[in-house]
Amino acid sequence: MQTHSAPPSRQSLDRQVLDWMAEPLWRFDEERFDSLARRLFAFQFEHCPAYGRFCEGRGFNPDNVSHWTQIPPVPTGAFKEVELRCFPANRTVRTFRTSGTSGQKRGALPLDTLDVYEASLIPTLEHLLFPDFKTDSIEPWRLPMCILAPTGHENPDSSLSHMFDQLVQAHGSMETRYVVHQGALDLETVQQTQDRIRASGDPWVLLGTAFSFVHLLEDMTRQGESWNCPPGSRVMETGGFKGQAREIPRAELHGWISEQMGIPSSRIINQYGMTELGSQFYDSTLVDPDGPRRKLGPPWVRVRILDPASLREVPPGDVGMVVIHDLANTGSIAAIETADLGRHILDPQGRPIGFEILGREPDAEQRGCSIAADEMLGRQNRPR
Amino acid sequence: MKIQWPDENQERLNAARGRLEVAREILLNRGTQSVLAVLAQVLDDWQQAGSPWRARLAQELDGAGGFPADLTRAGLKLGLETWSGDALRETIEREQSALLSGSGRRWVSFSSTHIVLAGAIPMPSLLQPILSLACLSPVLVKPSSRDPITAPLLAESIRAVDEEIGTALEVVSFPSHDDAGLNLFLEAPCIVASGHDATIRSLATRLQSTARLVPYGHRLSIEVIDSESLTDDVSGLAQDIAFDVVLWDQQGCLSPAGLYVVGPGAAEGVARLGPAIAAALEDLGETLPPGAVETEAATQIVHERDQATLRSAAGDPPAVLAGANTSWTVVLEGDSTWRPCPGHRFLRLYPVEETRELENALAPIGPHLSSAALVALPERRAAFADRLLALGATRICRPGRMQAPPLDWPHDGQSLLAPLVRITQQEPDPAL
Repeated sequence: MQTHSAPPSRQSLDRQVLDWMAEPLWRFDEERFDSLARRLFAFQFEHCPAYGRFCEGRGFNPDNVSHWTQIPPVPTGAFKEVELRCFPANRTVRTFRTSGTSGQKRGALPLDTLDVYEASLIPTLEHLLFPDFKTDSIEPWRLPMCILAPTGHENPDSSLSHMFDQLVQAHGSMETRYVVHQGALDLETVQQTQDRIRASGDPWVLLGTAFSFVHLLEDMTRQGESWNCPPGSRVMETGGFKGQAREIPRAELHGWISEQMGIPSSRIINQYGMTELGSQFYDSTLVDPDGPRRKLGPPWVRVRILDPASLREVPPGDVGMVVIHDLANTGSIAAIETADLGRHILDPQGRPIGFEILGREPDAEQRGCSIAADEMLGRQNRPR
Repeated sequence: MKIQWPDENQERLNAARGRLEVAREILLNRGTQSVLAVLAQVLDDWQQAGSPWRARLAQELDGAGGFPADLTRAGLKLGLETWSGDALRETIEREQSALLSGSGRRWVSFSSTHIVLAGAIPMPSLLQPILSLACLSPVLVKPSSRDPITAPLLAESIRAVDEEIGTALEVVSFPSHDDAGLNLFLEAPCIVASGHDATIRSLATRLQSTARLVPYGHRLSIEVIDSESLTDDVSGLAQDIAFDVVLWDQQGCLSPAGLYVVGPGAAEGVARLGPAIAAALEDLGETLPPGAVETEAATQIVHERDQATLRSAAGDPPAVLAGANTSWTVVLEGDSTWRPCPGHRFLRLYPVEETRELENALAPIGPHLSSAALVALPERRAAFADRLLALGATRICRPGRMQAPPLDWPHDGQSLLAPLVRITQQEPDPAL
């Protein structure tokens, strides 16, 4: 590999990213993003040799990248096969892994610090899931939460459980409960908590994977239960249905939640995230109830929609491959190529104001036996 | 302005079912030999090189966003090579005599057979209705959204030979998410369904408990090359393999999803074959250009290519050879770990140095195997074939012939006719 100009230190990069994350007002500063992204690229190019060689193979290095959009992204699937870290293995403090059945390779995101990871997730949650809660005093606001997932202690590999732990620590009230233990949903605890919350009138926050909500809703339906959650209550669901016995379109799931729990659809938020990313995206309906539902993320992340054939950006609003550039990934790789399809949502002037992830059409039939067989064999399994 | 009434699909289905009740009587009155003669003539018409049906299918499929006309022409030419009227007669007679061997046996046709087609390849859409009609069961077909052409064209070609028999094949298109329409469609004594295993499981739960379901779930095929059979010049073999990959743009169960070089020097074999196959794919791209690749599939191709490139950058062996855009991809793997195949002319070559490791290498895909193209030294061919068949393959062929199964190939290991009829037995009365 050629010698390139000395990259910035990890410490200084982390500091700049953390400073950005700590700013209470979000500013989507393009110059700042570009500058930081290119410096981070120089660091990652140098300290992750596999990535450096991958970029060289594409003809890109820190000396010839003049804009962050030229930085080569790595496919999410590579996290299953290659250790994509920019620090010595012995400095790993935590490794988050993608889910997967036994025998399958699982993607891994090793971290040498949780500082940047945690600094990214809390302000993003505050801005996009709790925009109506502000702290005026030293004491943070707290809400009762129902976590439809195991704790991080029970499931240390899960970035989602870690995220819930952080959220509970920052904003969970004493009434907060984790209701999944050893893979089983504790419906009795959910019911008891619901009774208490209803009596108190406090808004309730339910968070979990999409499929855990399906289990809860099925249990509620079986028992003839329906709730009328207090005003301000909200739901955050995430992940897909791969590997599950059945798949429910997201709109249908939201309708079911709304009907069964008495929470309006605008307060049911889908989170789009993945183990390989330090930052997450949330539906816009709490911050922009009148606008189209779309995914929003923090200012230290950018999303591009590319034509997979040409790897150029598609015309605004067209469908393409979702590529994410996340500055929170300081210790691994910032530019991530997902296997998801998406499109930008545009404002009346045709400017992107967010994006949406596209699932397969309900009428979509098999595209080919070979591909479907891959699905049977667990082609991608990236829910966290 | 066209008004689509909410129950229009159900009305069309009911009307088609009504017509098939009449057609059922026609089939029974005409009898097996007469119906078979018509169907044999239809196949002969399709088999002719200058068949207007083939020309129309190629043209109209292209126009409907399916395969490019040249690709369809090449696929039909090879696929129909042995599908003659005589082959149909022989197959039906042989299967019938096998089914009826035993005292007092008869077969009884179903009052109707409803066929759910899937995928984009015309060959199953041609054969499946013909087999059901040969059993004297009138047929209602739901074509796949990716091939709305073949089934109606087949119906037209039957009517051209015999207007009366032609009434026994009805084609009704409607979206799969039309639950009421689908439930109505599934009200039949015999359902033949192709598609995702999950789709077939879901269909099975909707059927009447007495209905017969003939499922054709997902399968994939492979090429297996005995390393010691490789000669200095691998270009001919590479061309055959590339042809298997190119036909139907690798979208079917019979397309190779991977190639295994097995035996001593397997890695070297992969290294020699890979570039030769890549060159052949590039050449074939000139004469048989690929069809449009949907964004989702293109995304998978890019993802798998990049993943292999990154593994290579990390010091692992895979090498990626690729054509412009997503036109074709050859990945030379360093080991035999099964990896996804996104189709659209994407082939991985796996080395298996120890022949005894073949079972382990194929274990993840064994239950899904359909065909295996095999090249081996003559003295080892039978042993290789036995092992592949034991693993789950139901057909062994030569490279270059993967898309040309004979008409009597027991698809997915099933007899062709047995699932489509009821076999009955009348015991002799000792008093007589």
